[in-house]
Amino acid sequence: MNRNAIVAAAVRTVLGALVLQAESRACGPQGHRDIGIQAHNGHLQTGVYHLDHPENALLLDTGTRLWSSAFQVNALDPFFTDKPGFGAVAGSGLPPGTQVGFNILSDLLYWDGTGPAHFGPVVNQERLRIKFGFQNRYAGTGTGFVAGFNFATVTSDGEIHQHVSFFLLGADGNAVPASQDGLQATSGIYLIQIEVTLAADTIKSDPIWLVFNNGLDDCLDCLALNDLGARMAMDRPPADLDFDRRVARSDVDSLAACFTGPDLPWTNPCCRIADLDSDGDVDQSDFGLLQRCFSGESLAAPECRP
Amino acid sequence: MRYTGLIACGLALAAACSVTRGAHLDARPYVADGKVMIGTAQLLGGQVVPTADHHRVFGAELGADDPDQPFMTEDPGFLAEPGAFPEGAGEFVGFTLLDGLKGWTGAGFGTVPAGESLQISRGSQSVTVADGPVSGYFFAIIDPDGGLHQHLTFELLGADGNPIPNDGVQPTAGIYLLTVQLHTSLQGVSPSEPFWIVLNNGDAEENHDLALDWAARHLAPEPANALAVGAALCLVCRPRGRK
Repeated sequence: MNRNAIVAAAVRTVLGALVLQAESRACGPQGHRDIGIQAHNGHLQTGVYHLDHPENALLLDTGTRLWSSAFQVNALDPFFTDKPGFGAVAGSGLPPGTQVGFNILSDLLYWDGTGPAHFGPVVNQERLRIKFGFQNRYAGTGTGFVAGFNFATVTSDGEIHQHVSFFLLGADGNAVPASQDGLQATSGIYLIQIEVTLAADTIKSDPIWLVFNNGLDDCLDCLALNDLGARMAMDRPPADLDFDRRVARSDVDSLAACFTGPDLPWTNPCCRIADLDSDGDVDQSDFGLLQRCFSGESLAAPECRP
Repeated sequence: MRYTGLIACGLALAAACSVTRGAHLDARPYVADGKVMIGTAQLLGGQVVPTADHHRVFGAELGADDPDQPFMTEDPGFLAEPGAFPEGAGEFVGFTLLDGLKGWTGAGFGTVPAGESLQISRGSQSVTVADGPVSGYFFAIIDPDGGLHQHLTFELLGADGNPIPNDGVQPTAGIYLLTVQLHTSLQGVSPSEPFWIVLNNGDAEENHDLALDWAARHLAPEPANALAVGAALCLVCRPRGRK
């Protein structure tokens, strides 16, 4: 067995089934979808930068303010991800030659996945490190606003596409798994608020939120995204159960999979998301609330509430 | 012969550049005959389009990604179409640096001018190459469809060991050469032949072109030599950012 094969075997032994989980996510649109930006009335408008279209990158679903990502899906480097990236398509209206960057607007927040989604301080001194080249910024407890850095320059036709590195650091200040140094970031959902900036902060986006699932079941990630989208980012209604900003057949299917009937409590924590009236069951009244917000393939009205 | 070479160069340049504006050319690893091969590919929208099967000299411009970080680039990336690694889903691709970092002398490559080194990073993993070969690391996981797309970060370090501008010591302007080999964890697949990345650190494009041409003629002595030069020249004129 040559050296490369030995290293590969060691990586697999240490990280086990992570290889098979790579990029697998049950909630939200799949594929290469980054934070898209475009100029809009002297402001930066965000949307979904979609690179999987066969001909050109597209900016979809303007008004999106919440993105999901995950740690522990990269077998080679479990507490590192470069998703989401940042993109702008040709004709974005961004002035050529200007630089795009970001600022951190909040502490790093955390939810352990139990009970209703509720974010508070991290529990074990975890920090999020954002890196590009030699530039590094950190978010943790008490860090608040942190001036960021530029990471891309707008091309002559208004495009950018760049990924920065996100690391989830344990209490020991590094992103090394516990199998190697005894400490790693606590499992749970992590949340940070940022803004995208242009031309030395003279133009900014509205605040946007990045959610990182660190080792929890995908359905709990969905629960967090659903709650944050409806309550904080306000870019989708609670009835969008699969995090695509639409209330469509797929959401009906999700609700149906959790259907218990009146006064019969759901027991699977993944079904909390479908209990739209928060009365402990998933029944016809929840379906009625979903139906009121049904939008099909169009974006659902964020203000549609139970 | 000279004119034949120039014509081939021009044709290669035209062929490789006759793509839509904003096209993005990367190194393309793929498996053929039980071995990792290196070609070129570009990303058009979400589609990976192979553009050459044999290509061993790549150009890159330090500072092209971010003018605030003039000694960094993420080019070339590594881009392979679906099926490039048959039955490779979940396997790894890594690199080895077969020689130390070299500097362009004007007539070839020799030792770097002033103790420069080059750091290559991806996430938590990082190696620095100075005056000799260095083992790299696995940096990409092959996609379920047998393709991959990944970028490494290349940072040229001054004698003080960092790429920070205006700190008193920064790497000398000039052209630098990296000798790279790719390997995979796929059973029974041999590593690639060496290929070369020719990095321009603030030198004139004419000098960069000369160095690319020299590398293609002296380091990669294959029939596709002239094609390599043409495509390499295209690579260095690619737009900023990655796709």
